[in-house]
Amino acid sequence: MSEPILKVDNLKKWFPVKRSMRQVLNGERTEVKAVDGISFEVQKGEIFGLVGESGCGKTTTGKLIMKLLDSTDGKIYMEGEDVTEITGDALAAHRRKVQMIFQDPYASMNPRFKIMDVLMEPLVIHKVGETREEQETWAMKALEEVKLTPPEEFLSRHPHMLSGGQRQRAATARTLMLSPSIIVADEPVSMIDLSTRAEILHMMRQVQRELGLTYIYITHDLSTARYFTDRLAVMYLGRIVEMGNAGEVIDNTLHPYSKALIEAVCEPVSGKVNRIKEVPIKGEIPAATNIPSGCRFHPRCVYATPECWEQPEPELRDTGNGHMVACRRYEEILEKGDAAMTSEAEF
Amino acid sequence: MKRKDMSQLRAFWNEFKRVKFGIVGLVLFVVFVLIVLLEPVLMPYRDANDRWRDMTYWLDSPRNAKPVWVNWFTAKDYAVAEVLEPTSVTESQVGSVRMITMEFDYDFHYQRPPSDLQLVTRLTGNASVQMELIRPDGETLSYQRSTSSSGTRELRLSIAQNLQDKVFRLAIPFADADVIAVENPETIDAVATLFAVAGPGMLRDTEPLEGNYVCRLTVALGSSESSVDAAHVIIAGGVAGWMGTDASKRDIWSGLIAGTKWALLIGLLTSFVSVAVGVVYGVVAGYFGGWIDSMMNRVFEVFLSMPLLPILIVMSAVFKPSIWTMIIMMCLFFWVGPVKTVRSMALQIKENTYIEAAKALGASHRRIVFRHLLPQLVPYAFATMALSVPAAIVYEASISLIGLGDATVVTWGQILQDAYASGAVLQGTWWWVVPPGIAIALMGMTFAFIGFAMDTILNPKLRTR
Amino acid sequence: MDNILEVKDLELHYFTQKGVVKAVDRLSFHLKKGETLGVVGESGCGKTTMATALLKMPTPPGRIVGGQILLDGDDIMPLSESEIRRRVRWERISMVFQGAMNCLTPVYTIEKQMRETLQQHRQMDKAETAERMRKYLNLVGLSDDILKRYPHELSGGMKQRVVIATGLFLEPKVVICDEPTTALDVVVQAEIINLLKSLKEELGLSFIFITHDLSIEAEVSDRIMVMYAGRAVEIGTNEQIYGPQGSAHPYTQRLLGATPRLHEEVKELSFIPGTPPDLLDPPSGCRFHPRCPVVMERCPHDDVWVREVEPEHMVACWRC
Repeated sequence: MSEPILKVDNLKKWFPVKRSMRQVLNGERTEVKAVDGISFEVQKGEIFGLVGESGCGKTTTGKLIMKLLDSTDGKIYMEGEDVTEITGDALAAHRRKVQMIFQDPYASMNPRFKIMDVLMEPLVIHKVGETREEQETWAMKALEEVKLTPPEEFLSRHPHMLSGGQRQRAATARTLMLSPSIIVADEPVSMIDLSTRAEILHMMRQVQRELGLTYIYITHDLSTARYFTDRLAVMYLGRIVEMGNAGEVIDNTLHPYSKALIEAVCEPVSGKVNRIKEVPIKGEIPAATNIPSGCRFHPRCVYATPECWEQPEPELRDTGNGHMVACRRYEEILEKGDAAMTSEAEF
Repeated sequence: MKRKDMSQLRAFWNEFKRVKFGIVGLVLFVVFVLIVLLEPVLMPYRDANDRWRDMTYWLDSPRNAKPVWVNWFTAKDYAVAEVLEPTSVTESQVGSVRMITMEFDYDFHYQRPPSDLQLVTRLTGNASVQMELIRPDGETLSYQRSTSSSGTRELRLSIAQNLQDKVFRLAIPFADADVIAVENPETIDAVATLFAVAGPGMLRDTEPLEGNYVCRLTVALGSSESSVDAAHVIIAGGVAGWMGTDASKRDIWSGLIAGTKWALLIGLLTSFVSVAVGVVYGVVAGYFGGWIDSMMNRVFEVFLSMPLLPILIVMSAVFKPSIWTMIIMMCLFFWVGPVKTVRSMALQIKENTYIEAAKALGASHRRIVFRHLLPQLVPYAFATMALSVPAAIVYEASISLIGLGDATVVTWGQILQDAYASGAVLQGTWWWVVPPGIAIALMGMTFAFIGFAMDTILNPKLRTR
Repeated sequence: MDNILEVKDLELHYFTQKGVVKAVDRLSFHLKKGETLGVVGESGCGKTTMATALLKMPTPPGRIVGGQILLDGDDIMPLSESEIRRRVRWERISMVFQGAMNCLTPVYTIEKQMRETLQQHRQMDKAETAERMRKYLNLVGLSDDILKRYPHELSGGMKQRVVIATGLFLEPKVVICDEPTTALDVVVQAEIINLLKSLKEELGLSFIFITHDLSIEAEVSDRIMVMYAGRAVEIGTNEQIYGPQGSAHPYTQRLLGATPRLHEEVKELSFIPGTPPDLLDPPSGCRFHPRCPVVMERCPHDDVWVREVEPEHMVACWRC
C-alpha cells in the first residue's frame, strides 16, 4: 500500500459558543464539537465519500482539509507532509493542490463576473501564466475538459446565462485551473436536476481518470455515494462510525447508526407504498454542544448496553478487508440480529 | 472588461431613461455645467467672482435696482440703468486753451425716473468743467467748476447728491407755490423733478417728461499736460441687469453665475470624497468583523455624534475661513453617512458562497474587498453621492449665512448672507433674496432627482415593476 | 363518487413582460378518495404551479385561463375569491408548502400562529381552539408544550410536523404536500413519511404528494403522475411505474435510469442531455421530443396528450 495522498489523524474542530456570565465565572466552556477526532486515509486516484446527516461534521471536515478553517487539534498530512500549521507560501502552495466544488453552482460564482473572469481568478491570485494568451488557452482547455464546448462561447457569458448543470461544469473547470491533486466536492449535484446529475457525475469521473485526480465527495445521499465513491466513511456527530468500501459498507452494514440510515433511505421500487418503515433508531439527534458520554450514539441506539455509555468511546476497528467500525457490540449484533436489541425503536 | 462595462452602462441608461425624475435631474445638471462652462459669455461683469467685495468695480451700477424684466410686468416702466458714451465730441482751440465739448444723448421714454444721473470723467492738470443738462422742453440746468491739480482725479457729478439746489431752482418757476414754501433742495427727489413735466406738480407729484435729454460737457484745458478722458454719463436706473443689483450695487445675476461653479465644486467634491471614504470604511469593517469591526464602529460612532454645524462654526471662527477648509471639514463629517448601510451590505455579501470560493482559491483580503465586494456597492455609492450634494451646498450656505464663509469667493450662500445683513427683506429687495435661494434649491433638486432615479433602479426593493 | 378531486384541461399561464409562459398546459388527472397521488417532475415542469392552481392561488403574474377543478363533484372554478377563501381553501383542500418550516414567523409562539389560522376560518371559543390544536399536534406526534415554544426552538422535523398539523386541523379532505421532506435529514424524512401514511389511514385523507425525488414517490404514492414542461406525460399506479416491467414513457424510463439505487451496483446512470425547455417558446408537438432518445418522425409535429394504454395507465407518447 503506497503512501496515501491525504491522511487525517484525530482531527478536531471545536467552535466556541457564547457563554453566559455565570458560565464564564465558573470556568465552563461550551463548544460546538463539529469534528471530534476523525482519522482516515485517502489513496491517490480514489473517490472517497464522507456521508452523514446534517450537522455530522462532513462539510466542516471538507473545510478543514481545504484549510478554510483552522483545526483545533489533530494533524493533516498532504502527500506525506504535515500541513496542519502551514502559513504563507506553503499555504498558498497547499491551496493550489486542494480545490473545492461547492453545492450551489450559482452562488459559488460572482454573478458579475464572466466565466472567463471566474476561470482566470485562480491564475491571477497565484500569478500563474506568463501572458494573458497563455492563461486564456488554459481556460479554454479546462472548459473542454468539462465538456463545455465550444469554449469561446461560454467564456463571455455570465453565470446566470448558464443552466445549473453548465454552471457546475464551469465550477469544476475552475478547480482544474491550478492542476490540483485533490478536489473536495461538497454536494456537487444535490441542486441539479435528476436528469442532469448523472451527466455531471460522469464528467467528474472522466476528469478524474484523465487527470489522475483524487476526490473527496461529501454528501448526505447514500444512494449517490454508493454509485460514485470507491470508499466511504459514515459520520455521526463529528466522528466516523463506519468506513470501508462503498458497496461493502452499504450491503454489509455493521454500525447501528449506518443500519438506521440505510433503513431510512427510500428506493424507487414498487410494493412499499403501504408499509410503515421501521427504522431502528430512537429519539432525536443531540446538540453538538452536549455530546453524550461513552459512545455518542448510545441514547439513540436500539442495541445499547450499559457498557456502551460507561466505557470510553469506541475507536474504529478493522473487521477485515478494510471495513472499519466503531462499535463494541458489532460482532454480537451480527450474530444475534434482532435478539441483540435492548430497546424498541421509537419511531 | 470594457465590453462588459459598456453593455452594463447601456442597460443602466435604458433603465434611467424610464424614470422621469432622473431625466429632469440630468437636464438640470447639464444646464448647471453649461453655466459654468459659459461663464464668460453669461456674465456681464466678468470679474464678479474676484471683485465681489471691491467697491470700485461696481461704482457705475445703480443701488438696489430691480431686474430689467420687472418692466414687462408693470404699466409704469422703470428707467433702465445705462452708461452713456458721448454721442459727439468736438474740439476747438481758443487761444492757449483747448476746448473739448462732449454731448451725451439720453432717450428717456420711461414712466419712472432713474434714481440718479451722474457725469463721470477723469481730469488731469488744469481743467475747467461746465455741464449743461438740456431737457426736451428746453429747460436747462447748468453747472460749472474749475479745478486745478497736477494729478489725475475723478470728477463725479451726481444730480441726486451734488446738484439738488440747481434742480430746485429749475423748478421754482413752475411748481406749486405752497409746495415751494414747504420743500427745500434736501427734501425733494431731485432726479424725479429733473425728469418731471414742468408744471405745478414738478416738485412733489411728478409726472415723467419723456423725450431726449442732452448732457453737454465742456472742458477747458489750461495746459498741454491737462487732459480729460473716460467721460461717461451714468443713468442709475430703476432696473438693471437680469437679476437687479444689491445694496452694494453688485449685479446679482453675475453673482449667481459666478457662484454656480462653487456650488458644484462644494457639492460634488464633498460628496465624492466623503462617500468614497465612507464606503471603503464600511466595507472593511463589515468584511473583517471581529475586533477590527468593533474598533471601527467606535471610531465611527464618535464622528457620528459630533455635531457638524457647531464645529464648522468654531473652525471658521478660529481659522481663516476658506472654501477649501470648509470642504475638508465637511468631508470629515459626511463620510459617516453611508457607513452603516454599506457595512450591513458587506456583511450580507460576504456570506455568499462565491466569497468562500475565492478564499478557497487563496484570494487575499484585498482582492476580495476590491474585486468582489466593492463593485457590488458602487451603485449604492453613486446614489448616496447624488443625495449628499444638496446637503453639502446647504451647509456651506448656512455657514456663509452666519458670516463665517470664505470672503474671497462669491457663493450663493454668501449672497444670501449679504442680503440678510443688509436687511433686504425689510427693504423689499426681493430680487436679492429669492434668486439665490431658488438656485440652492434647484441644485439640491438636481442631485436629489438623480439620486432618486439611481436608487429606484439600483435598489431592487424600490422597483415598482 | 370515487374521485375526490378531478382536474380537466387545467391551464395556467404566466403573463410576463417577455411573453406568455404556458406553465400548465391542458392538464387532466384525478385523485381517488383515500389515495396518495404522487406528482413527480424536475424543476420547471409545473408541479408547484399546478398546486397553486388547485387552491386557486396562482402566483402573479400567473392566471388560470381554463379548465375545471371538481372538488368532490363541485366545480370550484366559477367561485369567487371570497367564497374560496371562506369555504374551500384550507376547509376542503389545504397545502403543506415547500420549505414550510420557514413559513413560521420567528417572533410568535406556535400557539399564536396556529390559533390565528384557526380563528380566521372558524368561530370557536378559546377552549375549542385549544382543544383542536392539541388534538392535531398530538396526531402528528408532538406534545402539548410545543404550543408555548418559538419556531427557532424546534428542530426541522418538528417544525414540519407543526406545519402539517396546521394543514390538517380544519379537517380538509384533500391535502397537497409540496416537497414536504426536501430539507430534512434522511431519518426525519422517513418519520414524516410514516406520519403521512398513518394520517391517511386515521383521518381518511387523500394526498397529492409533489416531489422531484422518484425514490420517495415510490414509497409514498399509490398512483403517480409524471410531469414535463407543464404537461402530464405519464400517469400510472405504483406498480406500473416502478414495477419490474418498467414504465412506458421514455422520459420516465430515463428518469428512473438516472436514479441511483442503494442496494444495487449500477454500472452507469442514465442521463438526458439538454435541459428542460423554456416555456416561453416550448418545442412544437411533444414537448419532450428534442431530448427524446427514441424520437419518431411525427413527434415534433403532433401534440400528444395522455391516453390510456392499459387500465389505469395513461401515457402521452406516440410510441405507445
